Amino acid sequence: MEALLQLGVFLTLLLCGYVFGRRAERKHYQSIFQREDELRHIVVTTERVPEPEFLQHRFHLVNGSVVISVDYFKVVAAGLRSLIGGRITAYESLLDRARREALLRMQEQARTMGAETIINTKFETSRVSGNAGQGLGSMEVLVYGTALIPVGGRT
Amino acid sequence: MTRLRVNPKIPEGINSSAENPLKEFLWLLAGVVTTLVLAVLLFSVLAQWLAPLIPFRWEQAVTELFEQQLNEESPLNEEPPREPETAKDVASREGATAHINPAVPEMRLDEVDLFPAAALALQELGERLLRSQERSAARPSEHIQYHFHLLAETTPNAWATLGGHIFVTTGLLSVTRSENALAMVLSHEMAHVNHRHPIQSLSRGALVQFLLLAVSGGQSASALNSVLGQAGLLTMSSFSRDMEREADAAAVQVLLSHYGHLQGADEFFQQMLSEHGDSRWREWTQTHPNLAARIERLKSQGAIVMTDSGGESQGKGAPALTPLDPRLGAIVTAP
Repeated sequence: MEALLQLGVFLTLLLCGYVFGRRAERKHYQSIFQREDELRHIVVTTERVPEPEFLQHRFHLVNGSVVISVDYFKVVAAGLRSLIGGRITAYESLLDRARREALLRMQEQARTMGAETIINTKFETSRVSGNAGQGLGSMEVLVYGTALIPVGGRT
Repeated sequence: MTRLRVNPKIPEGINSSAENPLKEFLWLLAGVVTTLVLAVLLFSVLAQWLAPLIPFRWEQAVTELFEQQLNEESPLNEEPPREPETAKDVASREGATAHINPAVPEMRLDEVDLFPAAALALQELGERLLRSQERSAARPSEHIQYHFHLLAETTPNAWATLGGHIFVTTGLLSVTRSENALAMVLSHEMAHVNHRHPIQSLSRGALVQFLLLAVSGGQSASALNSVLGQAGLLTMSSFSRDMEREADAAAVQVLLSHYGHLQGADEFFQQMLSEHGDSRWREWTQTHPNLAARIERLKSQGAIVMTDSGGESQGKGAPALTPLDPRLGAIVTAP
């Protein structure tokens, strides 16, 4: 009976993780696609030196950071994968979402400053609420860069 | 070089996969669980073959050590009071017990042998059954020695563990009304010892634990460990059910040789059935076969008139039940 109960709890958690995780992921991607189109005019580059045309621009630090939690389904899927090896696709999509969301937040910040472009973009990632070997973990992606704002633009 | 005016649109599916994760997950799960179940099966079969080759003396050596400890801890020695060790602790330390009732009760070992007369009666019944066992088809192998212990515990239960030690609770005596029922339980536990089931369970448990540790030792997903552990346990409990059936069959041989009939043999099972009920659909999660099936098997082997609840409807053709030894019966009435 105990075994059955544990199996039931496990399957319920797994199902919840899958259903809600999938739903969250689908919605997030929809939102990402839409906002990427809206913010396409804020050009993001990794160039370290501004183009000559930006020499008169003001510059400002902009950043975007995002924390996304792993769901139960992804944890179990990754655990199984780690027995065999190979791509953990469950985590790949998570990282992809976090990276793009962080970029969008940085672009959003740059837009409110009236910036035309962002140069010297850098990414950083870390694990937050580090799970110390148990429970669910979540990941943070931080992106930062230098926004170039035309003089006379909004501050 | 002209600069970008807009961010380029990057095609999807480079950094992430659009495939449904469920498909990958199911493949992985099926593969890993199948491999694990096969490995547990292999280890179980190995344990079944090899464990009986471990000399019985070794089992006894292990339990003797434990008996010495027990004597040191007995209240007679006027030692400072300490947490009473429970039989469950001991059972888990020894790793291998074959229970008649899967619910393991908490028992204080310092209550062992509080009823010297009843314990003696139990011992005598055991010895009589042993002589019948020697005459029956279920002949014990040499070197096997049995030790019978009576435990003050209200939960009806009996089990056999390493070194031929068989424990019976006073609770079991209170639900058995005839000696035949008690003899069935005792012979069942003696059959476990005789077939070296405790050492098999211990070996199998140790091997499977080792396997699980090897598979999941390096990683942190506790959920995964739990599901793998479940798969291992379920595979093992099917072996455990086989052992119970084997012990039932051997006990039937002993009872037939001892009493000449199987009247009353199902009394304890009937009792458990009426108290706890039975469920066929979850048999695969249990360490014991379901009660109805055990009773059914008893009936088919007995091929005689069996009473439904141990004596109420004793028909004309039914052989008479042997009454319980008064020393054992006394415990039932004691407060």
